[in-house]
Amino acid sequence: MIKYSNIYKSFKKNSVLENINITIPSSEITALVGKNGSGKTTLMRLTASLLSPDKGKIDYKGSIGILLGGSINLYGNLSVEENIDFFARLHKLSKYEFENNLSEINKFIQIDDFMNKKFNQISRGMQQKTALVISIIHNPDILLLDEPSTGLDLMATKDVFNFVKMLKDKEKTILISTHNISEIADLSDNIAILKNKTISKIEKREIFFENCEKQEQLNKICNYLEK
Amino acid sequence: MLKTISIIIIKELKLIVRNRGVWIVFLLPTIIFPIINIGTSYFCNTNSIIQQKYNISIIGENKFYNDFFENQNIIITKCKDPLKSLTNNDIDLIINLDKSVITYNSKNILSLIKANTLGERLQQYSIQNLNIQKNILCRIENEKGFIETVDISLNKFLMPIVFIVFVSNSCSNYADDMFAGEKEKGTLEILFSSKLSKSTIFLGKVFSLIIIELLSTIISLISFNISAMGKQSLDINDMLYLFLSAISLGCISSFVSLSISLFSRNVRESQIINSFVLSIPVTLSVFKILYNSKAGNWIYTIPIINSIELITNSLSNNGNMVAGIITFLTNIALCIVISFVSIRYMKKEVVLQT
Ligand SMILES: Nc1ncnc2c1ncn2[C@@H]1O[C@H](COP(=O)(O)OP(=O)(O)OP(=O)(O)O)[C@@H](O)[C@H]1O
Ligand SMILES: [Mg+2]
Repeated sequence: MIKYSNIYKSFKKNSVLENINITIPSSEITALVGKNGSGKTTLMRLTASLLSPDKGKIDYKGSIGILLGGSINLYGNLSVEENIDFFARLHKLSKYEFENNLSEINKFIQIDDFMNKKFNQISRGMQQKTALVISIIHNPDILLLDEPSTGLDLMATKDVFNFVKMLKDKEKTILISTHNISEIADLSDNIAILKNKTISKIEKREIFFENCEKQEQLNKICNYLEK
Repeated sequence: MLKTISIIIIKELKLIVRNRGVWIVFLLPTIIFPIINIGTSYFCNTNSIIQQKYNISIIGENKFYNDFFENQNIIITKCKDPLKSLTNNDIDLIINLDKSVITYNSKNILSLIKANTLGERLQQYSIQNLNIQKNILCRIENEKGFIETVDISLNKFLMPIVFIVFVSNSCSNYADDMFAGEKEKGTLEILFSSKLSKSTIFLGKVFSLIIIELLSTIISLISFNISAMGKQSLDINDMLYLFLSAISLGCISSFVSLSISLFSRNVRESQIINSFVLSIPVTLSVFKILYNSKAGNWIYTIPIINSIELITNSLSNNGNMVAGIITFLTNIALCIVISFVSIRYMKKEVVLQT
């Protein structure tokens, strides 16, 4: 559970988020939907306390893993394995835990074949996968994924889907910011729409898409965002 | 916390060593010092200073030197108060033939160089003409009557500057990458999201800079001593003072350049500010060498200046223990202050200022 109470955030005089009072339910997947520049990434940064809110507070229990959107960059001159290993060590994982977690992740997200390549020599999708692995290597209770499927091929997207579902089965609380209709309509349990600098409520997916054909889901969301 | 710091150090060192540029930091001293040594021994034999006019005043009488003073480009000025004329730079030197002493003006570098050149030539002259191995005019003193033997080899002027340039600049490039670079790439955000304390991140990075600094200082010292073998090489004490002052100056420059990198918005900004700030010790050292004055031990309590003073002194075998310790302690104290201030003002928002 992540509880946002009365959150305000602005950059200089530019207000981005205002009066956010919602609770992200535990052990479920919540999709965070909004236009470009509506403040989704900012909300995630606030949650992971990479930014502090101007007002209000955020309560949660447990550890957080965050995958930041935008251009993914890790240490280019280190191999993928060294990159992962570095962050795992910072999370104080033992060698055993590290290998255990990694092999668990590897069942869903294949990174074995480029483990030994330098990070700046792998493709965009491979980089995205590496960043995803790093955000979950310490087995966090809460997972914030900012556009996790950017740059991934169809199969990898499916793998990430399955992986996120598996995490949900392990009682993790997951918040995904996404522009991908199938992530919103098929993967998530809840939908949070960020509009006019705030999130008014979180709706169950079934209720949001009630009586809505598969082809109409995209329109429904677009209409909602534009209204 | 120590373990986390060491994890960061290992990562930073891996990144630095995989960068081929680091070998320049290590190789440059081994190339530069021999070149300077060869160069200075060449230039010291040139006639540039010898050919200049020497404006001197002579005290006492010795017929033996008449030939010497007549044949040279020497102008002998009669003055009532030679010391005053020397202080006013009306004359370059006073030669006291009775006491066998050359007096120079320590505020005037040319006066010092001329004292040395003329002193050497007077010695040669007397040895050639009398065929004795004894030094006749061997003492050179400044206008306060302080007696010292000075060597005019360019080592005394050039080496401290080279040392200070090496020590203060060898790490700033890596510092630029460590915060500003990571900010640009976005990795700093991932570091911060792993709930590390700010001081851990800062210390991890600064210690890896200091390790590189330490290596490059040791290499500089060794290559300096090997290349100066025989003529100028330092004894173990002066090596130690030189090391203490160089490494503590290196620490200051690591801390300062890392803080600048932390508060810069991108690598370019950090590079520009760093290169400007790091030119300060170099400029100071030039001033220090031009104003070749003797200050008391209090000067060693001023950070940066103290290192310059000690580096200059130990390179001419004049270091002393108390100065070494004071220098080291004050510089380290400054480092601690800088790191406190940086960590204190290191906000998470800083991470996002791209
Ligand atoms: N560091 C910053 N400084 C100033 N303004 C910022 C900063 N970060 C974000 N903003 C502004 O905040 C607003 C929200 O940005 P944010 O990145 O949260 O949007 P987003 O919803 O994630 O967009 P997208 O869907 O494109 O990823 C934007 O108008 C952006 O210009
Ligand atoms: Mg975003």
